[in-house]
Amino acid sequence: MTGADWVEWISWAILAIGLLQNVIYTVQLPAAWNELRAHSQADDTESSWELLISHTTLPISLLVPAYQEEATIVSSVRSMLALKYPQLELIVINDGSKDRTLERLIEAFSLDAIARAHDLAVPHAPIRGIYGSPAYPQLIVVDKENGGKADAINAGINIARNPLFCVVDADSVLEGEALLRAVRPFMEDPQRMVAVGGAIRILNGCTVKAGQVTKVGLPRQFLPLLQTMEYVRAFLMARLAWSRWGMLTLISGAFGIFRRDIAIAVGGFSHNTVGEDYELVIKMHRWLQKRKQDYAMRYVPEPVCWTEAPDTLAILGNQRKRWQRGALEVFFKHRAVCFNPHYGKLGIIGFPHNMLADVLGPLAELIGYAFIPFFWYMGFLNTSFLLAFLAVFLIYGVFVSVSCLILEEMELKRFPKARDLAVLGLVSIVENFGYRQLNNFWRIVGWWQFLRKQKSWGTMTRRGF
Amino acid sequence: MSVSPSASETLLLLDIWLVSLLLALVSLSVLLWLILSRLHSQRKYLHLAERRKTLYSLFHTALQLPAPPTPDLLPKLGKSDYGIICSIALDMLRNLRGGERQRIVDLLKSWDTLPYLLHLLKQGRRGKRIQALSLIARFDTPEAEEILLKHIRHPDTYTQLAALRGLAARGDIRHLDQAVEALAQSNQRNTLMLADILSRFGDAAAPFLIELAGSDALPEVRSAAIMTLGNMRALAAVDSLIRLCHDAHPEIRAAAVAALGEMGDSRAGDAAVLLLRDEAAPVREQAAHALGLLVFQPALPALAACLSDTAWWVRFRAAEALHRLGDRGLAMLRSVSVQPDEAGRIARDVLAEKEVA
Repeated sequence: MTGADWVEWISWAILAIGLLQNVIYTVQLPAAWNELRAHSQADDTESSWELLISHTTLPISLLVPAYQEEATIVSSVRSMLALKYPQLELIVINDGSKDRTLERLIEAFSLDAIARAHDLAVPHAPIRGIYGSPAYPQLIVVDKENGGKADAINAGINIARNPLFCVVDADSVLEGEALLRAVRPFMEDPQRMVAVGGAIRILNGCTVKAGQVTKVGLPRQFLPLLQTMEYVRAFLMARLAWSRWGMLTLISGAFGIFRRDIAIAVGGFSHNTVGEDYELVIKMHRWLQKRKQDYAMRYVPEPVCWTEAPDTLAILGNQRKRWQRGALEVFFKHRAVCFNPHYGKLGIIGFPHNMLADVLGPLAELIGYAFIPFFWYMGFLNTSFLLAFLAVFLIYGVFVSVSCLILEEMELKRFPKARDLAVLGLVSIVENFGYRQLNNFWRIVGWWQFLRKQKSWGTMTRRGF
Repeated sequence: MSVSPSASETLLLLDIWLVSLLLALVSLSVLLWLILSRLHSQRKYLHLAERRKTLYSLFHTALQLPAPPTPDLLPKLGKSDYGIICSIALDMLRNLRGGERQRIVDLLKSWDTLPYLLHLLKQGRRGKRIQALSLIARFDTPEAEEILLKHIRHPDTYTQLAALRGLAARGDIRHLDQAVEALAQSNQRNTLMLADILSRFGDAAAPFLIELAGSDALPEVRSAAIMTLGNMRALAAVDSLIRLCHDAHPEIRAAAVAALGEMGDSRAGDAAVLLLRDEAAPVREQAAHALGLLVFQPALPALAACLSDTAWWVRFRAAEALHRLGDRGLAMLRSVSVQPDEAGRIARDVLAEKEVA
């Protein structure tokens, strides 16, 4: 092959990968819309009310792993105890904090040491003590040796007594009726439903009182604002569409409800990956597919968990590199699923899509940014190619983001003001010129860290609300 | 070195550029239109919020009058008011009781809201349909009853539940046979909500529920009927439930033995003991739990054997049941607790938890 052939081959390959991604985004949009219309809970206040007053919900264990949270743990637990859910058990797992997280809990909730029979179904670091309170019978605090977030959740799974569990970060804010909404798919299809994901939204810019979001607002800082648009796109389009197609491969660890028996059957959350939430879902898929069990996983956009977004480049970069590492760890660990017909449409379509999005996509985009303009500048490619490249990797992104906003406005209307929509509309243009490329850079660094087998989480400094 | 695309390739590349640009511009235009619509509706919303306050005060005033206002005394409503008064009515009906509820319904009748509610039933999405059915159920007219009966066969399972809830709220079991038939043929899987609604029909529904439990409806529907019989403590159903302990579906066996445990009738003891050896762990678990609720002393040896079951939940429920059997059960737990195996561990754990170690 001559040099010209290489240039042509590389250029067309990059363009093809970008086009394929865009085609997938395009078909995701109507699928997401159909899923929203089919299962919308937006107007159905009566069913939520009936669930609340009749106590006929499926019991849920809310697992809250906590590490070094002394500043906010008491207020977080109080707000979770106030959640509108009739049959809720709240299990806080203190993962060997070196600060006064446990002491603060004991003081605030008058906790005493208790005995609690539990199965050692999934492995975790030793438990030092279990605490309960007669004043708060639904609250259990587990004190254990440090083992990491996955380890802490596994301890919570073992201690939990309810058929469903939900993992929530200690500093996240669950909407009052979030669990009532998120549990409905399990009640609608009790034999098949194994996991349900809810929406994560950005807390920055919102007003929080007594542990509840009382006023929704957009972040005032640019970085969290960009992330607001990203989250709308990810949760309102991608998750809904894959839920519609029965190939949901990611339920965010920040807000997901899982069947406890299935999670135990697959060994709980894995310790050896930073993408433990993604990996749990893939393990569940594999386990259920192997047994040819009829099952379902769904994403529900109405229940919301609010979480603080990083507001500095350093912290955001660490987060994105970690996410990329996690995606690659899980992909390569479970690469046997890819293109494997034994895993049904997950193997043929779902997981290969993840390969495109997480493995090939960032590399193709990086090579494209690096080489296409250079090739054009050097006269190796003509202007029509450059325009097509810009269209695929910049302009089309505007269409996708704006379409997600349109979907949000038509079906959910969670942004209170017209001004918010206008701002996000502008963001959806601006994000493609700079932020997208920066994200891609972080993803490439994540690739590099993955190849170097880096394991750390980095630090996330939270300001608190 | 230069790559020159062919004419068709150039056309493709330009098409990609043009289509992407066009899609981006169209989507931005749609968003702009939505933003303008939202701006317009924000003004409209302020007007609606004021109107809601006015109508809310009207409801309050009407409730305080010694007699319900006649239709000629009520203000005429605009088209947009019907949605507001139905929403207010739903809010108030959740919080009021007795005669005040009837006043709300009388107001709705006086304003002739039924055509609006029927329109919602036909055109509205699920949430609005359910709200409409909730209100229609309050109308004590044959027309309302007919609407509810029609919707118990609705393909949307939440709409079906709302219609059943409406029938139950009317306290009339005359149409339970139709409800049972509709459920037997439906794809309803929401066992818990269905059980809650069926229990609202009251004790007189027991014969219908027994029929439904034994029918060839989906296991989820049958389980709901069984669960309701257990919650109602319908002792007339004991024999039927004992027979269902031998059903082919493990969910039915589990539900039947659980219901028998709730009922507390010792006739169920032997059937529950047999189920301690069921092939399905959830059935064994429910059987152990039921034996604890029944305080069935003859089950002691079988429960002790279950302390070695392969499933933790069966072991746990068996240990809990032994604890409930009193001194003999406690003595059994203590004697097993010294064993180094799983049986010993669960016995120790439960004794510690119950603080009788």
